[in-house]
Amino acid sequence: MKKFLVALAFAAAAPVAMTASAPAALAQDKAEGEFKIPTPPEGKGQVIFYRTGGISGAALGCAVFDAGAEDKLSSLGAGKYFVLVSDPGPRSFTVKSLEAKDAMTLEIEEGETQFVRCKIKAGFMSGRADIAPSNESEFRSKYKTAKLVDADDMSAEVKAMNYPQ
Amino acid sequence: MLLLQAAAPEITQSGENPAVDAIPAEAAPDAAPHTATEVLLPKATPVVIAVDKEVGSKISVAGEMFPIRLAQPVELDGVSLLPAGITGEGQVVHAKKAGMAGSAGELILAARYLDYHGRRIELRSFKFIEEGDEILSRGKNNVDLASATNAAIGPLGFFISGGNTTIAPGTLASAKTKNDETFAVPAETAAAPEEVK
Repeated sequence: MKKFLVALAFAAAAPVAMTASAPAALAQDKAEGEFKIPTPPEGKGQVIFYRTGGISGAALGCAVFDAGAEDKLSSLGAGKYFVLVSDPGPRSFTVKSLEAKDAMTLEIEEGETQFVRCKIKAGFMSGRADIAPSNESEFRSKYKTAKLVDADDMSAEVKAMNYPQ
Repeated sequence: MLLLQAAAPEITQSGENPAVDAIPAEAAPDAAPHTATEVLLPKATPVVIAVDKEVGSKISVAGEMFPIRLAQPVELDGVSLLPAGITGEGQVVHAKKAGMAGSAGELILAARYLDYHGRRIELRSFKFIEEGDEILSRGKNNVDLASATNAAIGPLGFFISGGNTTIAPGTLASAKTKNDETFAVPAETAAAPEEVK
């Protein structure tokens, strides 16, 4: 009987507890949705690399390199982003996957923020990473909950830009 | 000479034709050495330009130059400094044709300069003036369709192509001046807006 009363008490309290926690969750979502784009430092430009979530290629990373470099800048997991601050001028990037690589050149502009989206597209044996130019409107509409790439998945330079001490 | 500083300049751009074109910077001092005023157009002043040639992810190559035109006059405190219609060049920074597996064609452009009576007004920060969800720097992306096809009927989705992007002549874009630029204008022209106040 005692167990029955305890179970009844939990059952009665559960809806109240769930209702009470709902506003907090919504507030958190709202706060995350209001992603504030940082201003690039004086004399610099910046690029926000991002990858939306989704089932397609979710297990694969999208490793971003400076063209010709052996060490990656960072690797985008599903739903993640990172910011790259750069001197103005043309700068080329590649993304690599098992089957192929994709490349893109940007004109980094002083004081400007540019957006690059990575997607994992279909391949014969596995997914292929693909980077393409994007814009702030698409970033905000398709990327509701911005999550920064983990610090240990960034080069030291990019880590310093995204996780300032 | 009075140098009008750009502490709080009112920079306006209108679609109307300017009533008075700016006096050529190099000609003004000779014509009226004692009545000309230097006006500073600060760097990062926004300008509206039009792409004057068809460029696209399929038809253009990186490095290619293309003609641009100033679509709206640049005015500072009511004084027209750069008239609409002056021409210059932009450059294709990146062009990639649409590919297999739904990947879209890509096109990234840069504004380089406007030519004003032989003087180069350098530009930067090219950006298409886009409406709605349109992304002119990218064609139609069919990656999701290709992935869904792969999941449903096997690797045929790999052969679904994305769309290319083509920029028609006359497409508007914004850019900014790269450097501070000074223009010599008749003193009475520069002073006119203040007299109205």
